[in-house]
Amino acid sequence: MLMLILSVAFVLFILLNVLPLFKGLGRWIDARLPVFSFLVEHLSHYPAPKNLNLWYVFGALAIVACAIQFVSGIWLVMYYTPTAEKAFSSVQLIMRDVPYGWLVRYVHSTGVSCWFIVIYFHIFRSLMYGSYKAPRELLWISGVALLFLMMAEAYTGYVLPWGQMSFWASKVIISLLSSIPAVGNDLVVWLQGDYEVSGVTLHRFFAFHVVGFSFLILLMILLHIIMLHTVGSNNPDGVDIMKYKDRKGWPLDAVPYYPYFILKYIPVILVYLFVFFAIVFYAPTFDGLFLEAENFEPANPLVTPAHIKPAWYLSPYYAILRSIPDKSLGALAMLLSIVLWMFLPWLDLSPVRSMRYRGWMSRCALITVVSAFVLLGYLGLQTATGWYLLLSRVATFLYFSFFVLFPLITYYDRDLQVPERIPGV
Amino acid sequence: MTGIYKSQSGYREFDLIILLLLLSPLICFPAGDGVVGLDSINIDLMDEQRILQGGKNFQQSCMSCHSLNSFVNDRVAKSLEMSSEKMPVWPEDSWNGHPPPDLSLIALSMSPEWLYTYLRTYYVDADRPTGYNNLVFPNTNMPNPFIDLQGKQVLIDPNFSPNKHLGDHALWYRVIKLKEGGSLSAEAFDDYVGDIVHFLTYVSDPSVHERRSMGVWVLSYLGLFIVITYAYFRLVGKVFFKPLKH
Repeated sequence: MLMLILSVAFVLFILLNVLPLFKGLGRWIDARLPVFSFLVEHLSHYPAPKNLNLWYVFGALAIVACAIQFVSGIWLVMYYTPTAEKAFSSVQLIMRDVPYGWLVRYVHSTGVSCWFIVIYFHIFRSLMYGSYKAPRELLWISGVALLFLMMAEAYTGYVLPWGQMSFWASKVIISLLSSIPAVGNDLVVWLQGDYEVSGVTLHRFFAFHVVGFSFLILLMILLHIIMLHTVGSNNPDGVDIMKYKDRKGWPLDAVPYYPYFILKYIPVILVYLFVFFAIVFYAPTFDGLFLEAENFEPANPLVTPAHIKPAWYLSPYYAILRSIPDKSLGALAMLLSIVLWMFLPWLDLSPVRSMRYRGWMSRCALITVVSAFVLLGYLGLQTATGWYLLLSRVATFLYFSFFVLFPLITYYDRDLQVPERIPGV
Repeated sequence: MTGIYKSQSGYREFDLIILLLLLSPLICFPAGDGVVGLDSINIDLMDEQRILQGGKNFQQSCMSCHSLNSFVNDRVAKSLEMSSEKMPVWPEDSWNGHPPPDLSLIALSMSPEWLYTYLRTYYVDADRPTGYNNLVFPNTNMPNPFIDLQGKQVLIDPNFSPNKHLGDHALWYRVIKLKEGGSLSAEAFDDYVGDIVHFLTYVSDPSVHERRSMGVWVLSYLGLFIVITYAYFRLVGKVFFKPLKH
């Protein structure tokens, strides 16, 4: 024990004496490649509104979740074989014969679900505090684009284990493209690389998943952060903090991100990791929600599963697709259910950002659209018959009526006066 | 004016969180659509003896037809002397195009409860080529593997048809009963099948032992750091945050 304490003290002593020598090196590098000043500017000196609450941790958590997917993904690619014959068994090779392969695979499969949970909370926070309103319209649009890319990434990744649900879900989604007039059928064949979903399709989905979409996601995250740091963070009160600045140009209602929010958010990020690893180690299939039972059967083009369903994070859109009797219109509605969000900054006519200062009508609208979305998520995993189908039609109607009614609601709603400065925290 | 701000800041986002939490259990419990209700079985994967016994039972009753190809490199497979040479191989067109499937992942793709009930609910049905039908998996191609051990079960309800869905709450032993006993008593037979189900559950994910023992360490480590960083935030952070409160 004494030896341990002494050796730790020794290492610390050496480090403290050597570190100043690196300062010069750091300055030398920074003059040529401003990596350190970039980090200081965006991580430590970033002016954050002083009233940011716990809802604002989800942005940081999304970065953590993304990093987890990238690192675990690299290790999976080392052992995975993207052919129709070998894909399923290579996943079993990873799970059983590769040392800690099961850990990497469960981290990756749990990671995607947790990433979507984080992202949905992150989006909800933007809706609640009006973070999409001017001057953050492009920031919001890049966020919607990111959601779209994440869905594409998740979908192409879902196909890779080549289980029954991988095969049939990919077949259902690809067949939607055939409803595009004129070019639809040719597009499907071009994308599949075959007249049916086959090993060729699997191989190109592998390429999209590992290189295509993941690269675009990284690029879009970078743009998202650059835009955020150009226009600045919104806050729970929706007060514009850039109005009142001190002589040095520092907003009076802002504090530097470090130490205030780094200090505040690190325990929360650790709690996230705690929950994440509790799932990885003790409930990796999460009762069939994170890893579906049907997908533990190898893909079989001759046997259609009784009940084709998507992963839970895509089920709301799938429920919208099924609730409309016509296939082309259903596919269009599914596309619109995401694309329409891009227009939200211009559908919201309220002068107020945060729900804290909005009237009851806007709050009801938000609660309705979120409830409809959650309900659709549940219904998307059930068979579309009887009451379930009726309910999903009602929920789809409520979901789309949000976009029609929101301009009226926000125009006529009785908002409260927003204070000039952030009220006492 | 200040009054309005105060009352508005008092508006709690928690109202919405509670709403979401109320809705979320709906997602976790998808409704079932069963032929009959499934028996519950308490799977204890730490019970190594039971898993080994199940492996022996599997070799005796199942391995003449079913393979466990993904499992052969596992430590338990080695102690049971299961190797890839001993695994049965079937051509694609055998058994009328339905060769017995590999069972490496069967406990994950079906469920331990399904297996436990399925294996115990064979009943005599002269209309089937094998002479037996099943309550959980109607018109199954698999012949009854337990005629000698379990005996013969027959339908009690003459109006029952094999494709009828009785629902998740229907009890299978209200539909069929044991007519002729086999070499094992009813309890011993349940244990025999239970051991096989334990074994197959282990086979479907052998990482379970390593996962659980590693999980304790990882979670304790994270738990410790949560306490330290939170304490740091509360104690040291107070000094930072003090000037902000006004």
